[in-house]
Amino acid sequence: MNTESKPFVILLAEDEPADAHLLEIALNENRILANLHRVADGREVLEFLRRQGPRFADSPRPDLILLDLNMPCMDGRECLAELKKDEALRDIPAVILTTSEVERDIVASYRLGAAGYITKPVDILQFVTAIRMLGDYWINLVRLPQRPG
Amino acid sequence: MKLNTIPPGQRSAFYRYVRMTAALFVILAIAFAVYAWSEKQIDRANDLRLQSHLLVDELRQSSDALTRMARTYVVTGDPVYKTYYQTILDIRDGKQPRPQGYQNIYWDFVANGQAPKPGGGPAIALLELMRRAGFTEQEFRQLAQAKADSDALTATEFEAMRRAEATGPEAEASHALARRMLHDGQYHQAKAAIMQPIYEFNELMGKRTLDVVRVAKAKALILGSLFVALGLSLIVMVWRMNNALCATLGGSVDEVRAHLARIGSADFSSAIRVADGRENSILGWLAKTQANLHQIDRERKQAEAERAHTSAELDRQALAIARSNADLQRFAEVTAHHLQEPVRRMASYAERLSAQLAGRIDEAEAQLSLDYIGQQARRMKHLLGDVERYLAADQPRGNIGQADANQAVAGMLAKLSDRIAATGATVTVGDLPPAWIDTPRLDDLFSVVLDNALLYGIVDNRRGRDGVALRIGIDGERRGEQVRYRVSDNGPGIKAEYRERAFRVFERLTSGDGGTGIGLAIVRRIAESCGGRAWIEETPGGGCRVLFELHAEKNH
Repeated sequence: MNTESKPFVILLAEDEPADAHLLEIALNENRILANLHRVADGREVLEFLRRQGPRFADSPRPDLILLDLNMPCMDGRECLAELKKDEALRDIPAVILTTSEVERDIVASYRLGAAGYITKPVDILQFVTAIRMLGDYWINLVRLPQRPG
Repeated sequence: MKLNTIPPGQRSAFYRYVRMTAALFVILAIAFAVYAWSEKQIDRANDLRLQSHLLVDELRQSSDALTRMARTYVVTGDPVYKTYYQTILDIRDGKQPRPQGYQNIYWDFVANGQAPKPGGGPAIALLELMRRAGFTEQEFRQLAQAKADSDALTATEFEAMRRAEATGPEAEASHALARRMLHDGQYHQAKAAIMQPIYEFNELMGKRTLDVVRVAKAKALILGSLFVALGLSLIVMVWRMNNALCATLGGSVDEVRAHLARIGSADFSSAIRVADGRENSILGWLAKTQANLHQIDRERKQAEAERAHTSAELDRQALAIARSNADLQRFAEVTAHHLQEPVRRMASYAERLSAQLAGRIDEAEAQLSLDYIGQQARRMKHLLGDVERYLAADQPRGNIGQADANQAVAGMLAKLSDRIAATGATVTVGDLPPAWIDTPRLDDLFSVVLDNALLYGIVDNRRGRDGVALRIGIDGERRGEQVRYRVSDNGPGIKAEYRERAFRVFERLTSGDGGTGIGLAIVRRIAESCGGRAWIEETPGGGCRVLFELHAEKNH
């Protein structure tokens, strides 16, 4: 359930601008009013959440994290493992959003504590549908813990 | 395997017999010496006996000879007989030396006209000789009596000889008296009186010396028997020693020697047969040793066969792996090549569409999508190109030889001069030793590493770390059989935990830099295919330093 005062905050970890743009398109198409922030790799995810450095000094705490698996430097798996080790961050749901359909990646992600695993469809319409269902579930259906500030 | 060994301190029966035999031999030698000595004692007793007889005989002979010379002188009046008479007396009393062969027949030959032989032995009185001969007191007294009687008779004989020399009117009567004095019963009586003690002495002495001889003989017999007994014992001991030796060896010496010779020439095939109950002998232990060696030999041969088999299997597998690798390589090459085609077309058409619609697209979103299509197609083309470069990196392109690294770096710097100028970087190059590799791949190595330094050495605004201008240093050194090259920058560097990952295919440590993440993977593949290696260190003072080693010369 969404609260009126605070907009839903999504943190997207994606190194490829073209893919990030696709998510923006899908959110717009579905008229999902979400506050989307993008970082380029796993290391930046942690910096964003911990508000490290001048770039992330004022970053909000996201309601949902969308993680790409293949990123430079710290990839999605390492980032997920770090998140779930951190007491302050482990309750933020992280959903994997990736091109990989390899079974091994799926199993590993859930083991590491992923809240879901979505493969990016090649068809843009299918992708838009997938993001709409994602929005319905996480923004409208699920009740998430209340956040201070 | 446990061998039944003789406990220390306890010698085998063989040694005991050797010691006993040696002792027995010493005893036997002593017994023989004593026996020989006892035999000599018999001879000495016999000698004494003979000597005694000769001495007595001399006394009797001299008495008879005196009688004969006196009578002959009285009858013939020839003075030579009187001289002989005196000589006999002188020799007997030790006043003249004894002539040679005096104890044999002597005066009969001299009386017959033969010249008296000159004196041989020392002048010793007969009584003195008798005293030295070791006669008993009783025996000596008998002989001394006989001698005294004989001396007493000489008075009669001298009187007779004096009368025979008488001249004048009474001469004839005196001569007759002299002849009567030496032939009458009184004379014969005196003569018998001399012979009586000699007779008794002979009895006494004969009995005594015979006893001595008999005792000596008895002793010699006992000692001889003892010697023979000891000799027999020695034979028995040698025989037992031989038995003990055979028991210790477990067979004859020849047998053991033959087996040892066979084992010595590494022939373990024929088993050694040991008689029952002889297992605890040298031959028995030799049999066990031989069996063990045979077993070890068999196992060794088996292991060798297995190793040969394993080696062949490994060769076969290596061949299979090499074939499989070659297949995979070919597959990857074909795949990359075939993917290039549609990607190239995609890029071409996206560009054409952009050109055709230039200025006619109102919606920014549509223009963005079109840009992304072109951009992604070009990216795909780059990725596939990198895959092809990576696949080809382990194969030489041209002749492998001593490649000039100075020339390779100079060429690369010329090619990159625009970018170097754009980044404002300063590049310093040391003297670089040559490497054993084909020139194109040496160019590739420096190309990738220099490209990386220019790309990642700067952080933003063409400046390096902390706003300092980018500096790139290239140097190299010979290290044993290897030559090591170092390309160092003063950029932000790579954290230690990410340095290995930088060598993975398509691994990128930063985003949005235009790299595909294959460069260092290619560097490592080239270096390793040439027997070298590649890794990353930190430049002293900060920055990234890429190092790679190659063989310096052919012989490796």
